[in-house]
Amino acid sequence: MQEKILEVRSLTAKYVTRKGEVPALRNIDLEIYAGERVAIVGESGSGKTTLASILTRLEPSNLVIEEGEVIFGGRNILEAVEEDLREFRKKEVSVIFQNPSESLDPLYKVGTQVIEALRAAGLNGGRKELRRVAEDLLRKVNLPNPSRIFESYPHELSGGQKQRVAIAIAIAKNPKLLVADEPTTALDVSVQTKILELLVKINEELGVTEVLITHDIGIAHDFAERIIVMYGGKVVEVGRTEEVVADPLHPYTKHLINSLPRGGDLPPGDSRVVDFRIPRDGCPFAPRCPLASEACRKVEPKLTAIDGRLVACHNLRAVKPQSFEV
Amino acid sequence: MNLKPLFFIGKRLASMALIVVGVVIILFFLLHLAPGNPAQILAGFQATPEVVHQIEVKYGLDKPLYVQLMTYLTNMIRLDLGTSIMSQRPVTDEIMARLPNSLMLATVAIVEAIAISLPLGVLAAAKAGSRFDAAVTAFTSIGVALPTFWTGLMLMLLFAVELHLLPAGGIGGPQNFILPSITMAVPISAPIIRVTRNAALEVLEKPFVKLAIAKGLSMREVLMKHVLKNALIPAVTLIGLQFGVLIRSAVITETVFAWPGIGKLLVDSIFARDYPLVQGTVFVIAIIYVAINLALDVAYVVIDPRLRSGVSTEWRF
Repeated sequence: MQEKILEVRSLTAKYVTRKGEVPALRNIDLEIYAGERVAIVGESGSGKTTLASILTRLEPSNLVIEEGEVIFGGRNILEAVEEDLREFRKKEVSVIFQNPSESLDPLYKVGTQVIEALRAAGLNGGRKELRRVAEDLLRKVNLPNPSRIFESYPHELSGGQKQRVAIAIAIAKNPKLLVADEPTTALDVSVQTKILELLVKINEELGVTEVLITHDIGIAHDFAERIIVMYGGKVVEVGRTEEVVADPLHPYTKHLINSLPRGGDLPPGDSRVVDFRIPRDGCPFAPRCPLASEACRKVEPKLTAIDGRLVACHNLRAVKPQSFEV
Repeated sequence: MNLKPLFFIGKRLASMALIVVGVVIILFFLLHLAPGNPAQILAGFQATPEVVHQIEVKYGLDKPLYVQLMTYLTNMIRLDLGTSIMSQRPVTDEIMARLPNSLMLATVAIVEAIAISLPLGVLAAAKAGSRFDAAVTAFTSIGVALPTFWTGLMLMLLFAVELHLLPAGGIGGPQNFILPSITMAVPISAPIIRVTRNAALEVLEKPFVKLAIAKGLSMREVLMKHVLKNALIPAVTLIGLQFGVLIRSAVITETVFAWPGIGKLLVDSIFARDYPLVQGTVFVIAIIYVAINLALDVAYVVIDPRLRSGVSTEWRF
């Protein structure tokens, strides 16, 4: 297949809080290929945001990485020293956050913040020259009247406009990889679609590899070529979008798809959220899984290749015939 | 042009004038409604009723209270603060002779306090939980607890009496500023450091700080450009409140270090029962306090663009 741009190997991490330790990621293995759009889907507590923060090395200080490696450009970025990390951030990886209102510094003009990103990426030149480049970037993310936006403060813009500015800042360095953590969750539905379209356009035109973190498998379906499903800090299913959506193999993926509103009859769906603070053996989905057996509760299922996909479930044969509703 | 900032400043000016009038009225009643007859005090307790009456007439104390208040207010507007009983010179002259000394000392003290507190606060937040952070926190606890007169005396004892490095008091060259300004800076630094540290801790959690890191900026740039500036808004509020403390510690510090400023003037005039001078000094201190708060209100508008367009910010207490 294509060239790997990023590789995560048996990544395990936990949060250390005053009340105790909370496991966050368990033995994550995944690969991201150059130029693709991939979505990481999961509910709150699945570890998707923790994973995204590690991929960009912006993880919170109370997160402890117990083992594993993240290989980017031939080196393990988990072992990178501060200077190497800065190089990595200046030129190679960008990030977009959930809440556009908080992603821009309220005290500086939008233009100043875009130029700051350009300068950090190594672009030199006078303010006039940089302003021209910055306005080009603002135009590229479909902002009307870039020179007015350039002179605006963040509070003078709408949520959608701010998220476009954040995207402009993200592509200012012409990154290899762009990690977007729930970039549309804080926006109106109509704006959501436009932001997703913009991200797709950037991927297609600039060739930026994009990783989208979302809780919404519908958004993942609209955006991604590949979907990685996470549950309880584990990757439970990986596959091409159409295949995963049309024929989910893991009971949790099935549950996600069944929970999508599909005009009218909503399936009941078990939406209990399990407390992950209790470290457990076995499959993390077992307490909610209708197929869970004694083996599921005791032995952790490994990601296994099946029909060009990866699934971590002991009951694959039972799941395949789609003989049940989760 | 955007007129909002002008309206904003106009509104503050109006409220400033109201506050000053309020202070003047309270001062007036403090003197006139306090137990005892001021004329009797001025004349001395051995004075005959005739002498006391003469003084009452001289100072207009025989007129009804509202007439006295009006005279008092109109005199204030003309900056006629009366005559000092001690020196028999106009109170205005007495104050103007001392005011520059106080302003210089206070400015040096506040500049020292700010120059030390803001970086310390931000650094302590950036290294939260470290030994450095613990040391800064310890300093703030001690700083607020130390009484100004004690700090002043101890500094004097060590650097002037024991080591002979610095003058023990009085006014002169720049070396005379060092001990009194540090004495005044310590009690105001402590709370500014705390507020800056807490504000910076909160700012450090904001996505825009993470975005600044993600741009590849150095930690120094992130802290200076984004964290410090955003933490400045609550810090400025506190610096404003600390001017009250500054004035209080100026009174004590100037007395300890024999600094010829208005703080010492106030203490001397109180001991001498020089009421016009006490009143005049308090009046001038009140005006300075209100003016500084006005300046800080303007500072908010300069720092925070959201205030310029009338958007409220979550930062102001």
